[in-house]
Amino acid sequence: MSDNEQVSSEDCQAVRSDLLHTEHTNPALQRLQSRVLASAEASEVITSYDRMHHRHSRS
Amino acid sequence: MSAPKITSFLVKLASRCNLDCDYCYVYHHADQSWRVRPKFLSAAHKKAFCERLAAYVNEAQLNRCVVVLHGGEPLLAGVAPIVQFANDVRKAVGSSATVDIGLQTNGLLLTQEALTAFSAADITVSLSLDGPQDANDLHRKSRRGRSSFAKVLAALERLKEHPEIFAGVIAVIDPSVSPSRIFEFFDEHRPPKLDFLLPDGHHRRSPPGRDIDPDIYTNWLIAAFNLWFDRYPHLPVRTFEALLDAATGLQSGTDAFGYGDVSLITIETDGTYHDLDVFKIVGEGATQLAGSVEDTDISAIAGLPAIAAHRRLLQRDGLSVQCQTCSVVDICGGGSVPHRYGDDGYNQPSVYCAELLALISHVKRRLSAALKLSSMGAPLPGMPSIDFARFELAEEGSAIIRELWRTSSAAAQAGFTSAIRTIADAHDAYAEDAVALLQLPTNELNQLAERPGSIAWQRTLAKTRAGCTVYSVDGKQLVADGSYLAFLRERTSNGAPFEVGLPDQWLQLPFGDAIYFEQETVKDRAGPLLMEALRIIEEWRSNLAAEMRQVNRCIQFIRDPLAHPEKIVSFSDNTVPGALFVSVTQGDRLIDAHDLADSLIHEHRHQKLYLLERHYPMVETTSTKVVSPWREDLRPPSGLLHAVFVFVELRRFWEHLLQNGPSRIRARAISQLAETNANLMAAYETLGGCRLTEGGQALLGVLQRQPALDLVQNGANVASPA
Repeated sequence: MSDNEQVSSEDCQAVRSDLLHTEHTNPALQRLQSRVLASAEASEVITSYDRMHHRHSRS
Repeated sequence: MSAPKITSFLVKLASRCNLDCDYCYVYHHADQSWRVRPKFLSAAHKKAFCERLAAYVNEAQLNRCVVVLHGGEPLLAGVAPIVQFANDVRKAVGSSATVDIGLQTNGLLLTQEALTAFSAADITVSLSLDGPQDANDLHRKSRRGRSSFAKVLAALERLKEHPEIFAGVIAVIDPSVSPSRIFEFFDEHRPPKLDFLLPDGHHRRSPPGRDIDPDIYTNWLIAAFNLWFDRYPHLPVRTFEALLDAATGLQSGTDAFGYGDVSLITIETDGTYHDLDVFKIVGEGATQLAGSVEDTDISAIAGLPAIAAHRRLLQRDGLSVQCQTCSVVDICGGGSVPHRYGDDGYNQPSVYCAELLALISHVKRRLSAALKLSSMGAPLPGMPSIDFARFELAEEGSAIIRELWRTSSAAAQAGFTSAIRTIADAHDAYAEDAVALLQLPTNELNQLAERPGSIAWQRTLAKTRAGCTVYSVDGKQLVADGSYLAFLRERTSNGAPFEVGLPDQWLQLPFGDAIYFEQETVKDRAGPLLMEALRIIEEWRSNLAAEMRQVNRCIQFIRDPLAHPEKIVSFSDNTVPGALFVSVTQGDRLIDAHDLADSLIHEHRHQKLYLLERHYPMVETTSTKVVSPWREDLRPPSGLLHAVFVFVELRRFWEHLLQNGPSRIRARAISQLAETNANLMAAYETLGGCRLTEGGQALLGVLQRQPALDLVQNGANVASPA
């Protein structure tokens, strides 16, 4: 990424998404992930079927 | 704009210090008001502060606030008066708010008695210490130029014995000392938090040494970040973590980076109110607000124009034009306000602008690269190409599943054995259990290692030992230790295909209180129901039943406390691979066996895809979310691919039930199939526009080619939903 590239909210969102959906071995990233998790909306946290998929019967 | 909420109160208990650090903003910068201030905050001023704080907490409806006992050196005021003051503050505020009280000290007077008293009074302690002796002696000396290191190191050792009140260490950077020397020292002592501060400066007073070497701080900061990120990431360094926070859109939690708001005021030893005391570097009286604790409410201080002006400097539109158009302004936030001071007041970038720009750009690159490494779309090294059509179908994929399982199991076995060996070597209370497990025949040990609970346990243990913190779904910290081994020692295989409802804590802990696990009475009632559901699957497709036994080891009966009691809930989680979590009740009654079969197949398909994804990533990491026809909220493409993988199999199941199942579920099957067909069509179209890996595209193609029953020809006589 060049120094001239503008930091946009999309950049932040992409980084947050990568953080939330990846298992990290680096403790610094783990702590960052937990801080992002703590601040994230529920829809951001449980974002996929790879984390507690719930479903509901229509019967 | 309403006044800001002041939540932090920096109370100067002493205006003098028993050290003479040459960079100190109190004594060696522009403001010299310490010379005329009382040496200590008087009893009357302490009492008045308590009253003002109590009134403000009520008025501003604070639930929590922070009082930082500061100086000079606050311990010059004496331990007993400090404890008394802390007690008085809390007593005045009462139960309406929690008051966190901390003390910032140079450590010279931090005796064992002081620590014992502070611990009893719940006063946390932060220590100022720049690093090893050669670093600390550069600046942190007595007025006679003597080293303070030995006494401070002794204080650090004592403080380490009181982790309950050890808040952290603050170190001022001297770029002539290599970052590796600093990190080696602090790694040895492991403070709970470490904060690096740049020496204070502004455009009329350059940071020391930079006139000679313009890159001296940039080089130091980048080298220090790399060292920290690569070799010492277990040390919580607030300076760098604040940068990572800002890069992910979080509040940085420090006044050095990022936007923010005024939340702190200072009370000097004469009781007068002041702004952030670092403003002392810009001029005499620069911190002065108005009035004192004797005559002025804190709410009046919060509403002062000076505070409003300070607030504006912490927001984007209050920054200089150069800052507002900068590429990293949203991360640096203009930097520390006092560091911006110059000929045009605060209307220019920080004196450390070049350093911040270089460091932030570097941190972004490192963060981006580290995350990309984890989300590469290619098959993992050493994995052969795969026939996804054979994998998808239980009748043809058993060899592929076996190979995937073998590779996963080998990793689980290695991790498990390593974890147990570590416990055996520790010779603690759990060593006996560890040794006993290590003496088991290899196949028995491997079976234990492959248990979903064992995998969750050993992963948590390994991460914790690497300095990571592992959390449950609802945010509780997970702790893995050898106590789990006694449970594992009692496990013997009874030959049953699944362990059902076993009280295995590591099948449950990852979900905290988000999931309720059924008690024995429900388990007993649901036993025959489960047998019936498994029989339904076996009679439909014995290969699928065999594949489910191949991939999964445990079934747990659960309830979602947040779901409607009439809803049937099930889930899977990759932290406990091979465990199927299903609900078995609807209100007070057991669910239909066909619904349970549906749940088991559903969650098995998730587990099957997890198994594949451990070796063959399917979707490239993206923040993009897409519409899922099965959900009301937007989903990431990975979630949608999982859904498609699940519902292709469930469509086969309900087609079977439509043709061969009991008549009472015929209408249900028709409805289910019509909806599934429509949803799959929509999902295929959406996934076609998503960035799947080569493997993901191949699997999607296989799924799309799976035939569907013609409902009309089969007498369904229903229209598909729009």
